[in-house]
Amino acid sequence: MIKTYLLKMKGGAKSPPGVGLTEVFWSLIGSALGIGACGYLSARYFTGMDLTLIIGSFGASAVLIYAAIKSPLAQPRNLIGGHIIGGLVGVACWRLFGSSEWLAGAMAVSLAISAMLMTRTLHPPGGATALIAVIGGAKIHKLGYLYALVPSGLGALVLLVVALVVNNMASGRRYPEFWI
Amino acid sequence: MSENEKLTARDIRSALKQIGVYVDVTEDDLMKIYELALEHAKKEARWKIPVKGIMTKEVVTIGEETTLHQMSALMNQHRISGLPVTDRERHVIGIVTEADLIATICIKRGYSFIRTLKYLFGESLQIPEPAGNENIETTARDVMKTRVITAAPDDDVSQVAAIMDEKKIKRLPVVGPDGKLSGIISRADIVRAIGV
Repeated sequence: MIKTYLLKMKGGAKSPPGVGLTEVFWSLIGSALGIGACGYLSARYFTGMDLTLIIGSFGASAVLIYAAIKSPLAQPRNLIGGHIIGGLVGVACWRLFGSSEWLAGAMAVSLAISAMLMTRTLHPPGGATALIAVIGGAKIHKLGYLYALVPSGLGALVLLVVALVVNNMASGRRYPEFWI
Repeated sequence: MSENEKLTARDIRSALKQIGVYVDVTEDDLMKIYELALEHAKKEARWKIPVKGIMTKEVVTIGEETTLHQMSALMNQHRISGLPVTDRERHVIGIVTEADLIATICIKRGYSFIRTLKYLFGESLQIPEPAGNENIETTARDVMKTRVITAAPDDDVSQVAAIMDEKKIKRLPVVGPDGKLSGIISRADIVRAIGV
């Protein structure tokens, strides 16, 4: 039994083939513009109001929505839903378990994953959004539940608009596969 | 798909390359999905029963000139509740059901319920027509429904069952590719087919 268990770790499937340079090019353009837009808008309009429009989890979203655009995890429902749900769960966990940061973090990520699975909005960066609500420091904590909308939801929306514009420029690409 | 056309891992890899964008699934999983899907398709095909396999081929049909009494006698004699109306080339031009007959006799002729039943059971010829009624005999042309939903011989029985359920009808004339009546499929035919 242990042998079968350990043999599972061997893998066995081949890694997928690599992609061409055009794919690399469009992924680069999309992610540069998407993250750039969030960062610029954040610095120009949001920082002054003690808000932000950019969080670390957007880096992970950029990988999915500009470089793995066919993935179900990268579709608009998952992108927007995942960040908003992750944000809500994260803030709730900080409020409930905030006295113990490690516990709040563990609960935030695991419950966010469960909530995303149940709502068909699984988006890996949504787990990071939940974690940031806990470990993001005083500025994030001060936002309260607004964090789920700004920066999480609104920032994801900016990334989505850029994805729609850029991903559909290339002839061999199409985004999204589905909306909801 | 024949044996020498069997899908290989190389085909999957080449297809993935052809798609060009990054697809986050491994070739192994794709192959598994393909094989499971194929198995599913085969299983589904096994459950498909074409209408022509279970339909009644000896259809009792009538013409436009068939009278009310003849129609009720035919239904009675053959224990059926619907009669397709065909022209000389066996094209379906309408359908008359038991319900159409009862409605016509009850409402249009003003018969009582008991009298209607008697009429349907063939006793009406003895009973004089209600006074002041039209002299011209009512025929299939007057009572038939002309918008007939039909089935094709190769349709899947489950599709036909869904139509019957949705449209609340009990039978569908089966019309071949030549446009001519080739059979009739009723709820009873379907029930019999499931029971076999």
